[in-house]
Amino acid sequence: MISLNGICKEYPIGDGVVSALSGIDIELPDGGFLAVMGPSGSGKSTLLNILGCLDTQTSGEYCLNGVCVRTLSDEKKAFLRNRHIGFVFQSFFLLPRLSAAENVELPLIYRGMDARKRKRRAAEALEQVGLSDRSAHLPGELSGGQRQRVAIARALVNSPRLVLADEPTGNLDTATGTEIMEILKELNAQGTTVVLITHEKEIADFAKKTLLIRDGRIACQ
Amino acid sequence: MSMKPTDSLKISLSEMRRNTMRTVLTILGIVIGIAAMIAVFSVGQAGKERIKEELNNFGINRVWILPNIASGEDGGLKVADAEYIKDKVQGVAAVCPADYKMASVESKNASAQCDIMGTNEVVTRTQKTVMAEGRHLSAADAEYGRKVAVLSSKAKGELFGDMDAVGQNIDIMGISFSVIGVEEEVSVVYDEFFLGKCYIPLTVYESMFKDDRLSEISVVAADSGNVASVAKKSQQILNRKYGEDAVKVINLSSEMKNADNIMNIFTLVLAAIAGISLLVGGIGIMNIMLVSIKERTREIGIRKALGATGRDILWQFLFESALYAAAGGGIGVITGCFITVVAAQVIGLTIRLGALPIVVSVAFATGVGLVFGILPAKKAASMDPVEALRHE
Repeated sequence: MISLNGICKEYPIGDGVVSALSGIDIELPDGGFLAVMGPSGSGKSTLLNILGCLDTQTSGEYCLNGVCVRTLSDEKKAFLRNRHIGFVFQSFFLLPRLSAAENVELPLIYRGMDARKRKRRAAEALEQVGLSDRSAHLPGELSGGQRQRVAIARALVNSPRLVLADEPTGNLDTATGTEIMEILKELNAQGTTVVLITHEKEIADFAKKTLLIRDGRIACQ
Repeated sequence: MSMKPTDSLKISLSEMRRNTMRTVLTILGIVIGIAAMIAVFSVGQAGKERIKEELNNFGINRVWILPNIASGEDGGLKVADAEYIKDKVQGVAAVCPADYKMASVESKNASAQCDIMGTNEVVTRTQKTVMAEGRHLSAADAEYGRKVAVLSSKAKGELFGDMDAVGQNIDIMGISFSVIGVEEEVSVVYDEFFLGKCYIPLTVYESMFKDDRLSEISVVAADSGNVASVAKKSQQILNRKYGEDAVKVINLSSEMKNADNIMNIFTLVLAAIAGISLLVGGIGIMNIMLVSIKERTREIGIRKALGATGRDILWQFLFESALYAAAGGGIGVITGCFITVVAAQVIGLTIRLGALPIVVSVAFATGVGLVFGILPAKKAASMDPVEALRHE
């Protein structure tokens, strides 16, 4: 489960600091589905980066599955990202020179899995998102929706307990966006905790719980 | 749990294949450096071998004993001294007395200035002798005072041209000699500077020139290990006989050491120049790696988000620069071997390409790649994932 307690994030700018997050408290049990909404610059991406162990808060405590992340080494955080967290980004962030299957394999490579096992797991993950027939295609040969599905396959290939989705439908048309959300919803139904960032009400409605952030604070639950 | 090295390698390889032109330009400096390295070392080595061969022709186990003219002693060496050395010095294989003077030699059709060498049959054992035709001096020639002569191929050419010399007569200071053999010239490199040689029995020589002093006594040590002790002992007993500083001894081991030193310095200077090219090549790789990392900032961010540790990223880029350098090294070795073979043809040296310089060169190039790859790889490894992902 996720537990955030008084999370603040400040960035130094020139002589002063700018505050991106000022005192965020969130409790999200395993299997939860939380949508974080808010306008641009509200701090929701910063929050997601902290949740994903990509960034470290200035103060406050963040515990993931009972492990407090702040004091962990970079190596340990990389381990958490690899095994316990899956990312889905707005602009997919697939490596353009790797095929869909190879992109899905990446987290397994950093896990140290051998090639044959990797291929099988990647194929399974692609099947789960309905893209078995596109596994050899390069991202450039896929539509936006297909690319995002590859990214979701990559996010779930290591069977993480938490999937973080940063505006996953932001670059997609409504119909495709809905398809993607259905996949995330299904993933959540199978027990994976999902945190979704969006500024669209319709997308947030897929979540079990919605949170509005404004100016680095929780505006309403 | 960490990434497998083979996977690291695969990622680096595919990156190199992606941009062939850039890869070629990146490794060019290393190629040139390694090619130069290989060429310098193999040609240098061949030069050394050649010098050694030349010196061996004169006799590397040979000690020359000469009267020390500078000391003012004029007792001179005598034939008896040769016997004396043979009796008193241990580890001597052969002793050959010789005296030489320049004189005019005439054949039926030509005449030439030659070094007249008065010596005996032992000469074939103290210096490398290859007969082109006929035979060399024998013990009987000296014993019976036969008027026979052996010409060096140069002297034969000057006196007889292409005609047969063996069986013909030549004339030295009004005395007729029968030519019994022709020997191949010992030194081939500097033969322009030497006169042709004409060997005659020492007994005949001494009565002709009315002189029993010798120009030199050649002593051959039985074993190359005791050349120095033979030289020292011979000098000692002769100095005891004739007085302090009466004779000096020369042997080629010090000459060989000098020649070796000169070649080594020469090789090292050229190698240093090749080394600078390698250095420039290494900087070239570093430069490309820095550009490449800048270009691939987002990729690094993505890999980190998916669980790559700093060390995984470090190895990925370190492998890449090492591979650039190793590929450059490999192509450099091929180019270097090619240059060496061409140089061998042009200069006329016999060149053996050893495995060692090749292995060392490739290892060295890879080392250069690693050293110059560390800075860019560290830079990539320490990138902040959030910043990297935001990078356009």
